[in-house]
Amino acid sequence: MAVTHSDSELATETRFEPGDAAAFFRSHYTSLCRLAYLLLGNHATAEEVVMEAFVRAFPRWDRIGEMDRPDAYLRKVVTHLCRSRFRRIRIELRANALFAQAREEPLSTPMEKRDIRNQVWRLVQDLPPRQRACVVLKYFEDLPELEIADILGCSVGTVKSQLFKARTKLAHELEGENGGEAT
Amino acid sequence: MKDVDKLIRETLKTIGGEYAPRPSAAENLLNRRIRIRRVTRFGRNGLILASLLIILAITVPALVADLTGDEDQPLTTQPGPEQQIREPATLPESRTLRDVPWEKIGKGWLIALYVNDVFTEDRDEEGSTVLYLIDSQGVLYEVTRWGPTQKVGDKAPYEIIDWSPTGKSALLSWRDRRSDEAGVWEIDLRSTKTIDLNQSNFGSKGDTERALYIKGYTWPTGSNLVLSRTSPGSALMRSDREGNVLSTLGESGLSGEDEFRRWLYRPNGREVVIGTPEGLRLVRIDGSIVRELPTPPDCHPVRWWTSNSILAACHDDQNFFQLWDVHLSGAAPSPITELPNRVPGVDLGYYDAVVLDDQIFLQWIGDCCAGGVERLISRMESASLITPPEGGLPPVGAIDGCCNYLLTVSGHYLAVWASNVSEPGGSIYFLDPGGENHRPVLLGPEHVTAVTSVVAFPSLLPEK
Repeated sequence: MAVTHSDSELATETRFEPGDAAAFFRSHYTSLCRLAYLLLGNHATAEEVVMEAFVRAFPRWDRIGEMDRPDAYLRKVVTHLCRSRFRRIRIELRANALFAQAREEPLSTPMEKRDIRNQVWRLVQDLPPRQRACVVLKYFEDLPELEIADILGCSVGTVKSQLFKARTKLAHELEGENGGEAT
Repeated sequence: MKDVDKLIRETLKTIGGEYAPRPSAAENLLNRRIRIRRVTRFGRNGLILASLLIILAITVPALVADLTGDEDQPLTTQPGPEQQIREPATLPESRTLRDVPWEKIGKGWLIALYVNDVFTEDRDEEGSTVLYLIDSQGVLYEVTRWGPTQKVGDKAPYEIIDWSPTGKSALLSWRDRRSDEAGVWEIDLRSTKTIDLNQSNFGSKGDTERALYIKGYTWPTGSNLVLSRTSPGSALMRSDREGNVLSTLGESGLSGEDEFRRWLYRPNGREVVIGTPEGLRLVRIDGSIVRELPTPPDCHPVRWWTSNSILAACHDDQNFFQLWDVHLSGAAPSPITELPNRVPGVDLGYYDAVVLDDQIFLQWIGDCCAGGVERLISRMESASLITPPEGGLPPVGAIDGCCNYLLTVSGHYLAVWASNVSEPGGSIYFLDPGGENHRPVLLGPEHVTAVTSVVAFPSLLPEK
């Protein structure tokens, strides 16, 4: 089947035989970890969640592998697992997000760009959960609103309104912090 | 706004792109974990159904009342459910329909759908869907069961919409998984006869743009229905069983959104409290407004708190929930819980509460599906998590500890539905908040889908 959302470093039309779970894992592990990280703000937890998604999926790969979009299915599982982790990691999340923000920025990035990126990343992390999920799925995964709605189990209208609220909030915050230049 | 779009996209692509965990290192770990966990479960309908069921389950049905209907309409015939199915897993031990003490059904009772599908590494087998009544002591009564849906035309319920105020009938959503056809049944719990409430009657009466959904029973006989309309404009209505609208309880110009999700009938049956984007409103059943109740905006009624006040869940523009005690007299409301600490992506606050032995127990919710039960230590002060129970319960594959939803008080226990967020189904157990004498009630054995929908009896008795 065609895999349309594989890692950027791999061919986007890579074809796998149904049942080739290991190949699917190798080609999608990184991108799913990235999605989980952007939703959770924590590397270790992101990898744990993606692992859990594959542990659950592999024993039934004969069915999942035959889906038109097993990548979409796994993305949905990962998104839901991320959301279920929020409660358990709330304290760690807060601490790690702050730590990660300071730790993970490459020093070679020009200061101004890095500052703006930090600002945006912090604001995205401060968004309410559903808004953040919509933002990550749209801007990082480049998914259409219909697919975001499917993943989050809500209507397209809700996705639109969540994205609108998120964008408005980010624009407002950035405008406030940068003297009106962001919008 | 375009610049903001660009900034967000660049930021996320950069931050995400800089993170490059290696699959080769993870692959060995994955293989080890799969060997350890030889069997795992995945529901047949995947996450959409799971999310839907979980959200619906925490929305323990609104309590409805209506004085206009005199008698329940007689239920006519539909083919009865299959009775002779080879089950892939042993069903829980239960009493029979003949044993149900109908006159005792009341607060603390539950009605639940149990799906006996088995999924393991080697097996993928559909079983029956069983409807159980559960009394306040945790005794199961099998009402009826439906066989696997193996061909077009096989229908099985997947959600309990509401339980009638008389306790003797229920509304069930059904689905034909082979054709994607769906609809609503009403089942007479005593005879197990079902009638199909043809949703097309509700959606197309002279107006193809109109979308009406059956949401519950009216009060006290359940002779009429509560509907919601999402287009044109959002509305909450009463109708008869043919979809003829009797009155509109609330209406807004917003289409596409379900603005009036919860309602609570007054025990006198003549008035209803409805939640609106502006706050709570007390209306007569003909739709005329009695008064707007002073509350924060965006509230919905949850349950009766005292004889003169209701418990309301109100949320701010970021969907953080707070519980309020709202007086129907119009007196100032008082908050019961604090707002959550607003940690992003974590804590959405408190959504429901019950009182047991003079203590208040709260339903905490996280985004989308997470949930737990907490004890309120003192008014507006921090609460302690009491689910999942320390030490757990007997083997239950469906409980992973993240999703515990308070249903009602049953005897001296809290009835809780526990689910795994990424899989359909779950288990019902009675939580002993004062000790460790928790009781399994309807458990999902490992590999079995188990409880997919549960509703508490719609009592109008106040909690306090």
